[in-house]
Amino acid sequence: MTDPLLELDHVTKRFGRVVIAEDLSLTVGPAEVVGIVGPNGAGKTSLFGLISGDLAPGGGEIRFAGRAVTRLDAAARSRLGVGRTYQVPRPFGDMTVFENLLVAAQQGGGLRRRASYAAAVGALDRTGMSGQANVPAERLGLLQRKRLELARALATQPTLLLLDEVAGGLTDPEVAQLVGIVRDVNAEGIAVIWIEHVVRALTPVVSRLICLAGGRFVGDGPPAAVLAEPAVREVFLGTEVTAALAGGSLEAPPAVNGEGAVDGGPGGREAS
Amino acid sequence: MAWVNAIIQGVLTGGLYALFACGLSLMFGVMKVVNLAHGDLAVVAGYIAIGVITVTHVPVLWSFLIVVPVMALLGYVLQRTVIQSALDRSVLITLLVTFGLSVVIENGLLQFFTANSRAIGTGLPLVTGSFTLGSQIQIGYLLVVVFAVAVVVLLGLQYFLSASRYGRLIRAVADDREAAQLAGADYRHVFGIAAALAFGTVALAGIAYGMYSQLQPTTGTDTILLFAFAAVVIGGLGSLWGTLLGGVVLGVAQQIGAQINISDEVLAGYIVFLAVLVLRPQGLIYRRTQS
Amino acid sequence: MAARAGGRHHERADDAVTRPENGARPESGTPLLEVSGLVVHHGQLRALDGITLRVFPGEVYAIIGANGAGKSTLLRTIAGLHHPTKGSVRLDGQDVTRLRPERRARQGVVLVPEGRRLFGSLSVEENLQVGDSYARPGPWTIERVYQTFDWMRERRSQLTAQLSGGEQQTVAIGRALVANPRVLLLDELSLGLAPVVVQRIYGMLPQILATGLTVLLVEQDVSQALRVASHIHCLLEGRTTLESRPADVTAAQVEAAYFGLADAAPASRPGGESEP
Repeated sequence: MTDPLLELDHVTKRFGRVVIAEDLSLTVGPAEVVGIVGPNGAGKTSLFGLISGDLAPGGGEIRFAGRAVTRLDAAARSRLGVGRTYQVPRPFGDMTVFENLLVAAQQGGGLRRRASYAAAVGALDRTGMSGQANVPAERLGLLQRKRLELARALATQPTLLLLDEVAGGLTDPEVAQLVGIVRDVNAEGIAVIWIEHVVRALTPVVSRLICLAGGRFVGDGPPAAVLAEPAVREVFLGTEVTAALAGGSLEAPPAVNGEGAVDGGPGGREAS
Repeated sequence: MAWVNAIIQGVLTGGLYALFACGLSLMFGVMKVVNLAHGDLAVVAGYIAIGVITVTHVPVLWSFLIVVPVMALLGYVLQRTVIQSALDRSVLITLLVTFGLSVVIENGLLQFFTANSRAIGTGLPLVTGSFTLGSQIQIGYLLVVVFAVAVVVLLGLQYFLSASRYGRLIRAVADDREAAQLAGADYRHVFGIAAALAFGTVALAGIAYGMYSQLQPTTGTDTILLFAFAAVVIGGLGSLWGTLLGGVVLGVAQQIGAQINISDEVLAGYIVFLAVLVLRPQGLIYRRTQS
Repeated sequence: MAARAGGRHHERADDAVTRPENGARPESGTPLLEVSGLVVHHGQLRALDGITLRVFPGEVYAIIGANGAGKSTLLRTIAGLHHPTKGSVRLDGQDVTRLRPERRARQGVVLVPEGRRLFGSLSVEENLQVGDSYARPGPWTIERVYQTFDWMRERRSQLTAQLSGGEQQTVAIGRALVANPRVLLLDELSLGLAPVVVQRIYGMLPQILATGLTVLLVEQDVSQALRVASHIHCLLEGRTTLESRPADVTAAQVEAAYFGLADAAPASRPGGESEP
């Protein structure tokens, strides 16, 4: 049993009354590819923030490669090997693709000149962007920007790569290309955690699927099994559809709370 | 006793400053526009009043009735055209546009009126006279009237904002422009009304200042804008009564400074401004419900 | 809401409601709201890719789908907050695609936006009054809103920031109702609310429909949508994957359409559009 690469130990995070992470514990091994799904507002991006160092937890410990990183900031964690993409790619528009990657390799990877050039070129190769190396980043189209965002994260020489909704807006062939890149990256020994709404992008490449809802893990296991779990289905599809999938039918849904119950007023626990 | 005199002077001057400031506060609170031409508009109003009086020979107080509505209308038009198109681009562009407006106005005034100072002479005993309290405190009528007018204007604004349909719309648009659109409100029109109010009040203040002191083309930025700004910041953004409080604090600080050393009057005011920025940047009256 | 024999689900008020039952969608006749070939971009990202739908008077039309599918974008485009790259939006036959959102609201397309978006510095009553500012003539008044939600009358001077999530949602709906819309757009009512509260709010739909309104809603919870809708429309990554009456669709088809993992059932509207 190899040592885990990433460990979350009873991590909690709240923003005021809203619970983003509730006593989360998670272990990810050095070469795993893990997918994370869940409704919006469930805390998926915040989870990445906790792992990458953009957010400090309210409670709990985070360990990376055996080392406690809970109190390290994002830059320090990046140099340790935690690489991350952001939902909205924001490259340095005036700089070329290559220059963007150089910055990533030097600042995020902590590499010096020649090593940083090599890292940048390596990132270009893996993402198929060698042809755009000298294009100013602001001139890139959407797919290329997403690729640049991925390349940027790769240029920081990660051992753990966090992908945040990189497949949104892509066509089917583009999604297939992306999946290929992720596979290749993982084959080099880089662990991947991938948040995604486009579930069908995840299923061919992840060995493990986690569902995050209301700040808690609701399912964790092989993708097909997790998606068939009632608790996970309920998160997305609700009670009746889940029950129907388990062998009922969609007939006769339960009565809504009567006629005249119209106050919508106080009462009932506020969902977090 | 001189100190008491100074403090009273300062408080009353605060009324004038509040009149300057409330328009600036309104435009920022509602549309997030810092109107760098704000002070110049007061000067413009003063000059227009001078022009109107010179040409038509109406009694001075009538100039208010003519100039204030004209400036209010100008405000609506300027907001709907120049400022709105700048807002549609970015906040930074808007700042530059109002700055440019300020430069254009000042140079236009220099061109037409030369750099000589003007004042709005009235000869009315109201303006030049004063009364005494006790034996040593002398208070000019004009300042008292201006203070009273400022309170009335602020009361009026507050009533308008809290109880009228358009006042509600202005507050709603300031809270959430998009939600107001969804309720059927054209926020550009609402912005225009807020600008009209701002221009109208600053015109009032400008004419009063012309009676109280002297106007030069550069008075707008040299004096008025900075004082208005300081009053708003000290009092607290988004609070109308805050501008009165801020004006009073500024006025008192200035007069106390003048007591210490006559040339430190303006400096004293800015020291207090700086202190507020450092110690309580949100201002003395801070409204948390403002989105 | 699909009516079932023997159910208490005929959510009618005492007055007869001209709501199509059991898929009696008129084949001819103008839909109240019609969206055709809508393509919407957020910057370079294509959020909607050729969406077509029709809502007939009195319906409860529910749009479901995973996050990122484009549901809110669709509703916001119908309300006028986004400009489509292609396609059109028609209200009662009139093309409103180029109308500004406030004009559309005055014409009767009123959106209750996601997250409620009440005016934080205004009281409950003032929020309703703003909604009333440009209201069309009709049965809904502030007084009627107070009669419908009796707790609101006592709290009407309170600032909305002091209300619970469910109460805020109700005020937001009230603010839209007083404008007397023809089509009420509800965007993710259930977000951040406890299930009991959500049920209570959806329980008001019959009262709303009884006054002649039509409802187009976006709902994250698929089961909740199926409970109240007379017609459902599933989006996935900006495309339509399912369009049907709840009665005509199986749970498996819904799941497939939602996740896009297998071939979803083709749209089952009789004589209607096939999938784009």
